[in-house]
Amino acid sequence: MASRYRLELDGELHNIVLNDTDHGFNVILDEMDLGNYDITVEGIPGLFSMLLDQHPTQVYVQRDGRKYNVTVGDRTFSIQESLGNQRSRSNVGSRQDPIGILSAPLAGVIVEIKFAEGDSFTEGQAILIIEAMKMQNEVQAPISGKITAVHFKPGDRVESGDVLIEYDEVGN
Amino acid sequence: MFKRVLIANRGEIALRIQRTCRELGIETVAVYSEPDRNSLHVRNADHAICIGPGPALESYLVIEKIIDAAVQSGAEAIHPGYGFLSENSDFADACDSANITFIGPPSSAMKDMGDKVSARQLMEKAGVPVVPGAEDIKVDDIESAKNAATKIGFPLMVKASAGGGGRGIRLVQKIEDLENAMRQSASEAQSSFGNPTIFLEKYVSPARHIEVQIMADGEGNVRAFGERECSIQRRHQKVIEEAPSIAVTPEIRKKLCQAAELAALSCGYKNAGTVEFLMGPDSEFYFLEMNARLQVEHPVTELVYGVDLVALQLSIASGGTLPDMDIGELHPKGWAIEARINGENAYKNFVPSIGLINHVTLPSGPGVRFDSMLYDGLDVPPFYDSMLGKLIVWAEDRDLAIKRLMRALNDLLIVGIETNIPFHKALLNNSDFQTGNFHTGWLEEKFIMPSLEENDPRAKTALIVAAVAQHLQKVANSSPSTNNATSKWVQASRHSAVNISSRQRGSAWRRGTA
Repeated sequence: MASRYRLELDGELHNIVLNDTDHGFNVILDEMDLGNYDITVEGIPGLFSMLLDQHPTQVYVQRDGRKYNVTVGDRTFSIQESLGNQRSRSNVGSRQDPIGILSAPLAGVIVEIKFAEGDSFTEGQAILIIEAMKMQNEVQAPISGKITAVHFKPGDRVESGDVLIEYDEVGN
Repeated sequence: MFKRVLIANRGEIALRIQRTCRELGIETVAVYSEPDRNSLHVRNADHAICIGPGPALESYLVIEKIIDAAVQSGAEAIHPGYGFLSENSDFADACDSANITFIGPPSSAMKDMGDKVSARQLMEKAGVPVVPGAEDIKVDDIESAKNAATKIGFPLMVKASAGGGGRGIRLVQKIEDLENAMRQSASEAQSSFGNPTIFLEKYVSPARHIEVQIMADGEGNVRAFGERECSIQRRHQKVIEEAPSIAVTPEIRKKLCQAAELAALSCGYKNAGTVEFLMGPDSEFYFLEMNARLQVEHPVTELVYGVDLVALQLSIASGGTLPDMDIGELHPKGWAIEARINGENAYKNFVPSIGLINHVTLPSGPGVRFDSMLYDGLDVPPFYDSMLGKLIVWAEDRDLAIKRLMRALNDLLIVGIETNIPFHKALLNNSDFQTGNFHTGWLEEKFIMPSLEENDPRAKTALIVAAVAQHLQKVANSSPSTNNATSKWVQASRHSAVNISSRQRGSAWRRGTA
């Protein structure tokens, strides 16, 4: 399965396609097939060990919201998740979350949760509101469903990617 | 020997002193400022006492608080480390009054050496070569000063007797500028140190900074432990130090050691000290000043002479005499180099870089010693100097030591803040440094720090890893625990992706709760 990512480094956009392999990924960077990377993240959190054609590299990643500080040797690169990616995803109506889960699209503080466990909702309805940098962001239902679990309450701080709500899909 | 010693310092030097204390079975008392609560020197101590808020003027520099902590904890002696109160004669006196042993020289020796004119006079009397100069000059007797200056020759320096930190110093190229320089220097000295006494000194340039480690037991026994080469300096701060010096032959070493021993005897010195000399290209050397403390760069001496200087300090302070060591002062073994690892951005004019250390991989292996305050999760406070640690290597000769230091620098990974590691690597690659062709002005006049590499191939690696990190985060969040399709890879990725360190929300002192 191919996963596409758009990242920004020093103001330049880069497209990266990752294809799962047995021990890592086949990597296509800006249309260039770089080959199969053997990647392990066992051990120290944040420390990645990669092998390309039997050539090892060690890299440390520190995530800061949508920013990644990646340290390779004595140099650290600051890489941003491209927001353009976000827009294009919502434009085509694709979902980041798998069915059954609603995760936080950004880090922030939960302001309001409009539904409780057992409630039903329909596609496009605002489920909850997250505030970040004094801006309120609605998190909408990707499909219709019935809530089976709510993991946070108003006032809680969430990180991007935290699972907020679990639900059962309700067929049309 | 003491049973319990208070260490009036922080950072790597506090840890270094603690280590020797533990080996000798001495209990340690740490003092710490509030933001240092999480420091290793607190965690590793037998007792730890908070002495106030972050700024050193309210904690590490407050004599009464340190003495109180020693009394309260029952410490018999205080080791001051370097910096802070280490060369403060009032502090040494306060220790005496409280019946606590100050691990260092007597305050009288500190005072003699702290005043540059009196130090010069002592040295001249003892037969130690001093930089040609004139002490007996006054702003209101310009004619005599001009005569003295002509004898010394130009260029020369006007210096403040109470000087320090580069204040009160003027470089004078010709006789017409002398009067002006003397007036400026005297008034600066008055406002900075409350003492307008000035003197003239020949400008020795280019010169090397060569210093000699001495140890004295106060019973008339003094031993010199050879020289250290400290000519690589930025803004009067040493950044790399070596022992021995490439410019010192066994004959010169013998003379240097004799001069340093005379200097120590002349002021009734006791405990560890360093006598600094300027050495010209003709190998003539002149007394510069004496540092009445353990130096930052003491480990290079320890490595080539096989001694533990802190153990000697403790032994002498507790009444011991210098052991009859068969170390042969003229024969350093091998070569040692120390690189000061500072939190600063080498590519942005060495601007300080502080904050959270996300991760550190420590170098090790044969001949590598890393004296450091670093650990994963340390939040480096903004109140103190930028030195995070000292990477010290030993090898059979200088070329091998340079290679070993490069290897250790490559092995050292510090994540979270910028460091001067790229600077050290560039320096080790410089041909003048490799051949030892440098002097105290070389780094600032000749060395050019290369700029950040454009089209760095590591950028590609970084992009790939950022994408993989983002991917793992997504996989981890989208695979509920009930999901059966959990290959080993997915499991591993979920486990680690959730651990990809997210920046901590500020440690206690940032929140103001500490």
